[in-house]
Amino acid sequence: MITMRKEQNFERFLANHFGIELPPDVAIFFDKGIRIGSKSLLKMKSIGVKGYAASDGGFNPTTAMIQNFGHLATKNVLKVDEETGKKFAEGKNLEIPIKGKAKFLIIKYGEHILGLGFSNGTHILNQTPDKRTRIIVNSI
Amino acid sequence: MERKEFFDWLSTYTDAEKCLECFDHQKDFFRVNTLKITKEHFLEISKLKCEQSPTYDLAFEQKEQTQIGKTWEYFLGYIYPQSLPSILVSTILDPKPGETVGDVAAAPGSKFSHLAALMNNTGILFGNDQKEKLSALYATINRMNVLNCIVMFGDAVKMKLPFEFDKLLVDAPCTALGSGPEAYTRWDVSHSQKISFLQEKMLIRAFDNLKQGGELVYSTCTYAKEENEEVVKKLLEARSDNARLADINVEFPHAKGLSDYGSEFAKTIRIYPQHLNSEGFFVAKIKKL
Repeated sequence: MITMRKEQNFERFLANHFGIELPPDVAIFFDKGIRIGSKSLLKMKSIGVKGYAASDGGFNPTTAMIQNFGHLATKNVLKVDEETGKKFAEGKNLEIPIKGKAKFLIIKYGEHILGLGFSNGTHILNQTPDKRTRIIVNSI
Repeated sequence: MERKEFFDWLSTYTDAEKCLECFDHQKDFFRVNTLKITKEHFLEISKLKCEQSPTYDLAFEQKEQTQIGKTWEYFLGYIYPQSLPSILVSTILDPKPGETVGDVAAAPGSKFSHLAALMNNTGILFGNDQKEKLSALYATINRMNVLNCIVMFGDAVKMKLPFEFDKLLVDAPCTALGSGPEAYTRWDVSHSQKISFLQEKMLIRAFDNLKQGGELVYSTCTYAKEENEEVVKKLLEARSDNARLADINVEFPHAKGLSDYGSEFAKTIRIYPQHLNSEGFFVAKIKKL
């Protein structure tokens, strides 16, 4: 029986759920967790920690992964206005009902990818780590 | 040290009055992160009041009092608030795409993320720092989308790596007289002498990790010669067969390094606050023959 490795499963999830196909010079790999980095890292001996965390170990992508590659998504993207975007950047959940199954959504304001939310049907649960949240004082 | 005493000490290096006056009126800059956005697109979409620096096209002077860390541009990783000399240090190292580059004291990642941008996220960018500083470095890596990095924690004095570098940055821990308005109140020359032992060891260890033909930039944000020319001089003596100072070709205002240590120190540069309305920096570039 062939079993897929965790990083391959995650990459397949990105493609199936969000339609994200990573650029050819970028790789998802396993190195003390599922990580993302330049392909040039793969030839290096095992020393230090390469790239940055792409997921929590399962299918939950990190905010960094989504903020940096979410623009490649073709589906499961939720567009919000600036006011709602600011609430999201602050780390608040959004009261936006979405019909259908619970699922991850990429939150986007204009052309800007804000991060990852999880729709439970009635709310978008904010997945941004506390340290990354900000009160935004300007407009873009 | 008292202000008067510091003033007299600083006068042996530069015009202390101008230096301190400009230091008190520093300009705030940020760097546009080309790993996330092009400069042109940033200028199209951003409403931040800013002016492009004539010294470096990705450096912008803030023209309004904004809490830059609370802007969309910061949240989205489009910019990194950074002093102008700090931005220029990475351009002096001048890493190229595909090279193997290292930053031996990488946290919090200002210069580190700039090096990644200059390398266009290609090659290998190695970063090292103390374990307790790595969360700040990773916050920068995540926000700025640094993809070509390998991060380690360890003692930069003992660092021995299984590969050699084309370019290395040693932005050494220092007494920071150039960056904090009150730094001198906690300082006397003995502090510089003490920390210079660490700086010297870091620099020599880094040099030994360079490829033949490789280049290293040593920088500090302090004025004391004990932490600058003297440290570089010790490297040149310890590795006299293959360590040489290299020219730093820059067009922005600066002073030459102190000639007390030899005429070749004219190749090093000192940036005082009156040069760029910024913090002070010392920069030396060393080539491994």
